[in-house]
Amino acid sequence: MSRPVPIRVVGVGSPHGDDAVAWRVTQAVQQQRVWGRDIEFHVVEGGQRLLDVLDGKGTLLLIDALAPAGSPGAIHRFAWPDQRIVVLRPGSTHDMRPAEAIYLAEALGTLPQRVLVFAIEGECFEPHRDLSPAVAAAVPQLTRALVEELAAR
Amino acid sequence: MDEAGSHNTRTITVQALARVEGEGALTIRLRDGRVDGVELRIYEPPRFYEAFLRGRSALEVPDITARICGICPVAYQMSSVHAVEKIFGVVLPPALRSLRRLLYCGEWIESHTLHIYMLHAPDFLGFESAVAFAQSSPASAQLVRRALRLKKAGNQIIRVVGGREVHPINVRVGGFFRTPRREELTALRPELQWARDMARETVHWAAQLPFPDFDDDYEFVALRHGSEYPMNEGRLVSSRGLDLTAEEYADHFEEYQVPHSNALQSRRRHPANGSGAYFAGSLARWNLNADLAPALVKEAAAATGLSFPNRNPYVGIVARSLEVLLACDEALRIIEEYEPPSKLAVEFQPRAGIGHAITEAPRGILYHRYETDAAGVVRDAVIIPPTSQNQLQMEQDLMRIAPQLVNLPESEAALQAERVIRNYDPCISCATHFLKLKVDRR
Repeated sequence: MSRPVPIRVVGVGSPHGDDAVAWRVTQAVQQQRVWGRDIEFHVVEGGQRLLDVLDGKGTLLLIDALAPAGSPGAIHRFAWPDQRIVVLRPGSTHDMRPAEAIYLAEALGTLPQRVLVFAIEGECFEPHRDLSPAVAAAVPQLTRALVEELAAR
Repeated sequence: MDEAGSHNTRTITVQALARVEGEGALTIRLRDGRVDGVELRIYEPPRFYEAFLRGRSALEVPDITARICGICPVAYQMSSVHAVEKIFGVVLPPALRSLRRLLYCGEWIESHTLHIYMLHAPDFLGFESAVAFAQSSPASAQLVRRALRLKKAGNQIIRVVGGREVHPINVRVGGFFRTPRREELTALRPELQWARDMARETVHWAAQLPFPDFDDDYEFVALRHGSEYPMNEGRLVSSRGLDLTAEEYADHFEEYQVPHSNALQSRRRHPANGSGAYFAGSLARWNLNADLAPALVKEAAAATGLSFPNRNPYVGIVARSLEVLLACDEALRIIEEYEPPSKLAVEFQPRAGIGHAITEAPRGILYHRYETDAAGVVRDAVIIPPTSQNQLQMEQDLMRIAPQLVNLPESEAALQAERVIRNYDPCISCATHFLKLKVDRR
């Protein structure tokens, strides 16, 4: 029996401040119910690890924190391709940005057919800090949105 | 990049040097068309690892130092654990020693492959990034796909031997917390056999890249071991006759602070000539140790048609490729011969003392020194990463290339300067820590 086409929910971030929001949301969605084996959940630290979990199949729901822009906790939803998802100058492989990984995966043929990006605007990314209040308050809202997205698949 | 100045003064700033590990900046000062100075400015904040190791048990050191870098954690773990083991009088049995060498093979494969294909190759191929290269043709995309698979083969070794792919956790003072079952290692063989073939193709491919003419009388510095290509052990030797133990390192090398950098620089204490700059890393290792490589790696080197020892730093990409091939072959040999060790670790008693160790990080020699008290608590720690060791040599190379940048368009000048830096595969985060270019012309 062939394996079902997967949906991959991938949170990108780190334990530091609002950079942890994608991990929190991914874990919260995973705990909502017993999902079928066609749904995978991953928390990763950067674009390099994101590349590792992509195989060109299914759907990718990517969650990430956004740099501060004056509205902490604001939720944005992008459907790939979207001109607003840009690659800055290529940096190091220590911290390949998720956008760079998406473009590279597309070039390599490993980007899933459908990619949705959910981003929460952060406020503070300092080490050893918890989520800032506005960002923490957005976690349940994005969790619900993702559960609905998965239920409607 | 910005530019300001009059007919005889000019400042060019590149805000972000791309495709290096970490963040830094570069200033080139020109006075009336002549090069007045070069500053490799590393502005990432210091991380104080040496300071917060003080007061910790030496048994914690390998786990803490493995956190210094996400690309080369094995190097930090190896230099630290070997330095501490020297204090405690630990001598590893061959099986445990081989496992540590296997762990290092994994790191060389993943770190070198990332640098060759993702960071360095775009310089030779005329692309801004590996993404742009992959987008350029189906063949290019296929090559990058295969490169990422090669890199992953190295990660798998680190996962199985080290306990996880990044910041491994299985190594302990005296040996390992866990050693792999034989079947865990043999399961890696098919992919490593593919990786070895791919690594051989990489050597051939890298040797065809167009290398700029560049040559200097470098002092190459690397470990040299009596019977094997160096990773974890050996005497420190140089192309100018240096031959010493890790214990003698500080007598011949010194770290010093420069106002423009948060990372200390390193130089020879008594340079026979020049500034005391020296060259560490793959090219230095290969130049000084090619005779110790397995036959198939020597054959691959000969087939490149390049002459070795080689003094062109741009050829470093070929040396790195040869070391990937070597690491794949060595990993397969170790796996073939592997018998699970009877004991995970040798017994020892913590004691007061001073221990030194140098190992070969992908980017070059990595020196650690620890002093412990009778309870085995760290009283002092010194860590000199390869990027610090190469920093002065990078500035020297930039001094040489700077006159050629004077009349170039700004973007081209920046690219050429960045290429010089990338020859050394600097890990600025380790050294403490990315790059902006500023050319100050007066």
